[in-house]
Amino acid sequence: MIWLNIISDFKLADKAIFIFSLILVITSYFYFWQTTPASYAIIKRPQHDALHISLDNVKKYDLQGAIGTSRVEVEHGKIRFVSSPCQNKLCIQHGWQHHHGSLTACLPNRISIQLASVNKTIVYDAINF
Amino acid sequence: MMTLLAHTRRLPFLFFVIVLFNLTSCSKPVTEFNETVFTMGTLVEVTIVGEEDALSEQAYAAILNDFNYMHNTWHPWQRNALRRVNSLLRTGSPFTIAPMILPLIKQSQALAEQSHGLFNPSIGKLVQLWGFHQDNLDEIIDAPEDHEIQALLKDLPKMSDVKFKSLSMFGTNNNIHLDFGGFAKGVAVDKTIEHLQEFGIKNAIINAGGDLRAIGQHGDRPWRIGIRNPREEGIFASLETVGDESVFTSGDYERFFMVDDKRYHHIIDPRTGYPATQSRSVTVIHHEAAVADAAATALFIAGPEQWHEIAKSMGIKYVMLIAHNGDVHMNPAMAERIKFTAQPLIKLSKPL
Amino acid sequence: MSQHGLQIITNHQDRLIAGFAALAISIHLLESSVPSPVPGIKPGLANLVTLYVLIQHGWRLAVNVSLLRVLAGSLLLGSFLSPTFVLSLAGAIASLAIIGLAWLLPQKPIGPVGLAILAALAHMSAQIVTAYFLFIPHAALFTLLPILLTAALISGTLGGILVSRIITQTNVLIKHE
Repeated sequence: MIWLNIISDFKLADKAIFIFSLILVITSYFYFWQTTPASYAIIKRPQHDALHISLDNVKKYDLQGAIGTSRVEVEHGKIRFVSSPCQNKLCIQHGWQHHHGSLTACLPNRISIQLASVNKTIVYDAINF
Repeated sequence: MMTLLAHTRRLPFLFFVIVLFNLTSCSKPVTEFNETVFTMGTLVEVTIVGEEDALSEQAYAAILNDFNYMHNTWHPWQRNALRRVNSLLRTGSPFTIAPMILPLIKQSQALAEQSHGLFNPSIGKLVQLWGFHQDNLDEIIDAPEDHEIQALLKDLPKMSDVKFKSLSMFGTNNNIHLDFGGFAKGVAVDKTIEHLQEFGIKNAIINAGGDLRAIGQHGDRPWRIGIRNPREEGIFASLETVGDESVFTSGDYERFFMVDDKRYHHIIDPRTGYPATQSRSVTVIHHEAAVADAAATALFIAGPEQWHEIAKSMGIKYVMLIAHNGDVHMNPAMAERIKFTAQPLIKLSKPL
Repeated sequence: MSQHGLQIITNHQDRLIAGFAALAISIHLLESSVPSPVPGIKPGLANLVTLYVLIQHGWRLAVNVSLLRVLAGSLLLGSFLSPTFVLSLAGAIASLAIIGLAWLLPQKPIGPVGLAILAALAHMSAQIVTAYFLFIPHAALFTLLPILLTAALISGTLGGILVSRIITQTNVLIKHE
C-alpha cells in the first residue's frame, strides 16, 4: 500500500527538520509545564500584616524592611525585586517569578514574596463598579 | 485514472460540502444579544440571552425609548415636570399631584425613613451648591464656602417635607429641591427590566454605568459579575447572581472634582453638608434596583461604624463596604457569595 | 465579445491565483469553525495551499495567494482588522518568510514535508508572540505554548506529506496530458 511508505516523502533535510522540531516541542513541555501561573503574591514584611497583591496589572511597590526599602515590580502575571538595600542583591538576581508556589526573598531585609493562584481566568458577563 | 479535468468537476461539490460544514458547526452555545448605548447620562449595556434576535431587537428599541423618556422627565434641572413640581413645592401651596413624579416621591420617602435620613433626595440645593447638578464637572473651580453650607444646613429639607392631601401635594420647606440623581438610575433599571419581562424575556442584564440588575441566568450557568477595584484597574472580586438581583456600588470615584489635591465627590452627607468621607465604596445586592441604589448611597454615608444598623433598617441582606483606609467590611452572607482574586483581610460583621 | 463598462483582462497567472486563493480561503473558513484554546490562534492548514503554490508555481504566486487568503478570509468571516485578522496575518507573513528563505537554498534540499513543518511552526510561533504582545500579555499564555506547538508539528508533518503526494500525483497527471 502506497500510504504506508511515508518515509519516501521525507528528503534528508526533511528528516533533520522533523527530528529537530520534535526535540524542540518536547523541550517546551518541560520548560513551560512545571506549574500553574500565579495570580497574586503574598508579601511578608517585619511588623506588618501580610500584603496580598494581584499580579494582574503593572505597578511598583516600595516595601519597608528591616534594613531599608526594597522596590518590587509587578507586571502582568510576574513579579521581581528591582532594588534592595542588601549587599549581595541575590533577590534581584533571582529575577522574574511567575509560577504558583514560587518563593523569593531578601533575607537581610526580611522581606519575602510567595506566589499563589486562584483558579483560572473567568469570563464576566458584566462589570460592577 | 481520472484526468485533471474530471478532478475539477468534483471541486464545486467539495466546496459546497466545506461551506455547509462550516455553517452547521461551531456557533455560540447560547444566543446572546448585546448592545451598549449612551443614555441617562451614562453608558448602559443591555444583554439578552436565549431569545430570537428579532425579539431582542424589538425589546431593546422599546427600553431605549423608556430611558430617554425617564431621563428627560426626571432630570433634576431640565425644563420638565420635575422642575415644575420643585418650584411649586417651594411655594408651600397645594397643587395637583404630578403622576410621573409621584412614584419617585413615595418610594424616596419610604427609603429616606428606613435610612434614618441618610438617603435624602430633597437636598438638591446643597448638591447645586457643590456644583454636582451639572453634567460637566470640569467647570467647578472650588468647594463652596463653609458659611454657605451652614446656611443651607440650618433648615435642611427632608423627604417628609413633601405632604399629600387627597389629590394635592404641597411642600413645607422653601428650600426643597428634589434631585433623584442617586436613585433615578435604579428606578429606570427596574422599569426597563419589567418592560423586558413583559416581552417574555427571562434572561437578561441591564447594566447602567456599572450598576446592574440581572434576571435569570446565562444559558446553564448563573450570571457572573466582576467587581472593579475603585482605585485600580482590574477585577478584584466577583459574584454570581441568583434569580432576580441587582448589584449596585456607590463610590467616591464616580463623580468628583479635585481642588488642591483634595477630592470632593458627589455623595453629600446631609448631616454635615460635606461629601461623606468614611467610605471608599459600598456594594449592595438586593432584588429591586431602586432600593439597592438608595441603599448603596445611604450606607456609603453611614460609613464603617453605622452601616450595619442602616442596612438592617433598610432590609438589605448583602453589603460590602470598603472604608476610607482600605479595610473591607461585609456581613457573613456577603462573604459567602463574593469571591476575591486576592483574598484581603475582611472585617466580618454580625449577620444582617 | 465587446461589452460596455469596465473590462477586466485576466491572464493565466491571475486565474491561478484566484483559484488557489479560493481553495485556501475555503480551508481557512473550515479552520475557523474548529475551537482553539486561544481565540484566534489557528493551526494554519491553509498554509499548505501556499506551499503547494510555491513549489509548483513560484514565490510570487505563493505570496499573492497567501495574502489574498488572509484578507478575503477575514472579510468573509467578518473579522477584518480584528485580533483574529492580526494573528492570521502575522502567521501568514512568518510562514511565507521561512519557506521563502528555505526555498532560496541552492539545490533546494528541503522538500515539501520539511517546508510544511517549518511553515507550521513559524506560523504558530508568530501567532503566539503577536498574541502575547498585543492581546494577552500574561504569563499564562505560555502554558499553552507546548500544546500549540505540538498541534503545529503534527499538522505540518501530515500536511507536508499530503502536499508531497498531491504534487507527485499532479505531476504524473500533467505528464500524461
